[in-house]
Amino acid sequence: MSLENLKTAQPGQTPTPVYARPASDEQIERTVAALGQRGIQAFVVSDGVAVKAKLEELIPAGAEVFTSSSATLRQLGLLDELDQEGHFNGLRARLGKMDPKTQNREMQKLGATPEFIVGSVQAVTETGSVLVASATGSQLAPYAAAAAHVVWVVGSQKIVPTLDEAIQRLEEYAFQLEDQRAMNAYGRHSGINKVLLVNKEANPERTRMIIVKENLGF
Amino acid sequence: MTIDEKVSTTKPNPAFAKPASDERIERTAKALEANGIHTLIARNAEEARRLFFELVPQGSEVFLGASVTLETLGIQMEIDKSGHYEALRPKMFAMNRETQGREIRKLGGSPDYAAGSVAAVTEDGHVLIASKTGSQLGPYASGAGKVVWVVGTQKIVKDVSEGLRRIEEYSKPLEEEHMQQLYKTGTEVNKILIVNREFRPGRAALILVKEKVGF
Repeated sequence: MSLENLKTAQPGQTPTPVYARPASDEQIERTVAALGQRGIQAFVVSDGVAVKAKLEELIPAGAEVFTSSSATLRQLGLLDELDQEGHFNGLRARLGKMDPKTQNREMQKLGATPEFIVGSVQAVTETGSVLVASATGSQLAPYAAAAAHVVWVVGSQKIVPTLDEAIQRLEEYAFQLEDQRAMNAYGRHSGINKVLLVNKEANPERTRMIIVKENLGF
Repeated sequence: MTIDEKVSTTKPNPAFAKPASDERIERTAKALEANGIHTLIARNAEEARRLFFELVPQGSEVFLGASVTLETLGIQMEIDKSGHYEALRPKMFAMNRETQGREIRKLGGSPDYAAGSVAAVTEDGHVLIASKTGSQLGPYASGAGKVVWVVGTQKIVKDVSEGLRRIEEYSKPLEEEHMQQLYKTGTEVNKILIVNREFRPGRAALILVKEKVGF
């Protein structure tokens, strides 16, 4: 397999359009079944509009919620609801009032161990593995173990047959779009600095995935 | 290879048990440094121990990943039993999972120091860690203030692909046997963290021990 290519992923490539295509119903069904076998409960919704209701069903009102930097959630316009202290207890509202210069460790602790982390992933295989990449690693701690619950919102274009293709998708598509975004937003490149591969979730109540039958996010 | 495939747990592949040459160790250390992971080379177990305790000062809050390496080097004993450290694992084990689950998770997820070992280090400076529950991956990825890894040089491999092979063909069968003996339960490679680069300067350190230690 080609995970070693991760280090050589070069920015500035045109994102490979094949990875923007939503998956077929059969592919989605196969993926949901495989994820279920691996301790990740997956739900399928027809479009982005249905995501909000599903999130409110999966996450109790008032729960502490942290969002990872996610193009999917941004595109769906869900960041406000998830990040503020309103329907949910959005952790980012609290973090926004803290001073990274003097409260850095405290902020790191809060962000690493929320009750719920909501975000997305770069690829899901039809065999039920999940691939997540990060420049800083900050969302990987809550995803890997430190959050009590994980909810991933995933456009079905992220479904790929194999792990090899998951890596290709990450390098040739998701990373390219994220790099462009980082250049526009912060004037600097992104990087595939840390990668988490989830083959199985040992705690069956912990991780859920909402698969949206649309091209959403990167 | 694909790590999706069920590989039968047979005998560990002895090719992955051999300590690396000095030249290979130097190359690896240089590549790790270039990727933001401060790397120290220890001639033997005793020096590794000394370097470790220079990096982790007495009184620190420390979370140890379950690690045969730290056990063998006596580091686990010192951290968890000496009383000179704010050791999180004994504290977490003494708590009640059912009533204090949230507190346990918060304690272990973001310690000041996380220490343990890894499954493989590549000559081009990448680090691979495999886990059944993922509990040490959170602190390593971003939850811990600082990370210290202690790694026998038999864990040095050419690249990430070979690192993944090392996990399946060597670490996993040894870990399986270890877990069966200790707890009568098996192991699984459920989560893998690959660190290509550490973003925060001064956060991660790795001690390469010129001995075969750990899996």
